[in-house]
Amino acid sequence: MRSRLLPGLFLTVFAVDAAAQKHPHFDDGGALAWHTRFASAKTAAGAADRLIFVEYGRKA
Amino acid sequence: MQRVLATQPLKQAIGELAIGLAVDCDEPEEAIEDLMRANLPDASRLPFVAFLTPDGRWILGASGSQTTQKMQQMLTEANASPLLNASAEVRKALEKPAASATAAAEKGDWKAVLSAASQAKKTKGRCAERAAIAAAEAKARAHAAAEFDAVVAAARNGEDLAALRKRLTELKRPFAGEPEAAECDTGIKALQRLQLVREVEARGNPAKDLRPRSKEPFAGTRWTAVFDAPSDSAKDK
Repeated sequence: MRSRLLPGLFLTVFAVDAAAQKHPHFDDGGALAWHTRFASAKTAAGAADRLIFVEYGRKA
Repeated sequence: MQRVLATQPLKQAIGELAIGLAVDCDEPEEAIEDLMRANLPDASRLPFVAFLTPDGRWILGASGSQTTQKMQQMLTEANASPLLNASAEVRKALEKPAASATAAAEKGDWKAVLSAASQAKKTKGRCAERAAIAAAEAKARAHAAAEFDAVVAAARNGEDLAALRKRLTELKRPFAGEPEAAECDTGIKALQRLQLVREVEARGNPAKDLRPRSKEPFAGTRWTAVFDAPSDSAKDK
């Protein structure tokens, strides 16, 4: 049972981390972990007690 | 914007205080579009930037290119927003958990600390009570991390593995349901495997790759270190 739980835990953690990524339009040098869905951003910000910085723009 | 965000000290400050939400203005989510329209009604020059509370409420924003200084100013102002503070009800609700977490951390009662932390996570807003609980929780996590380091060092030093497994089993108890409990399980498995390695080595003429092969299932964890060559003091045991 334990050996089945561990991969499951890993996948869960990986899935949460996978929601944050690089900015889709530009390279900010790793300044921020970017989300592209509001719900995902709120979940991450709530968990880390951080502000949400919104960049609303268009690919140059 | 990329150059501004990548400029220190803003880069570090914004990375510590915020997470990013990239919105394509041609395909915005309705909730974001509504927020922008309501709070930047006259904005016309892209990009629009804004700081929101963790639960998505507007704090402040601006449109058009921003300088690093202006962005730093906005970040500082947003981070001081009263919207981020806990309500009086939340502070009242966290009073007792904060007091008990602080006292429990002094006694090393990590289960009580983590219980208070769990209660705090069900509420929102910054306050001294939450900070006290967070400090106690940090102590609990630091204790577990120190224990893991000590167990790894002791295993490498040739100490009795049954006793070390017992130490991890006891550590796991107050951390039930936390990542540290899973780490204890992994550690116990690693120590069981190390026990076999020691037995094979004691019989003499072990395979040269016995230790490297044994550590493979634990790649990416701290537990690979227990399979490294025994420290000099261990060889004397």
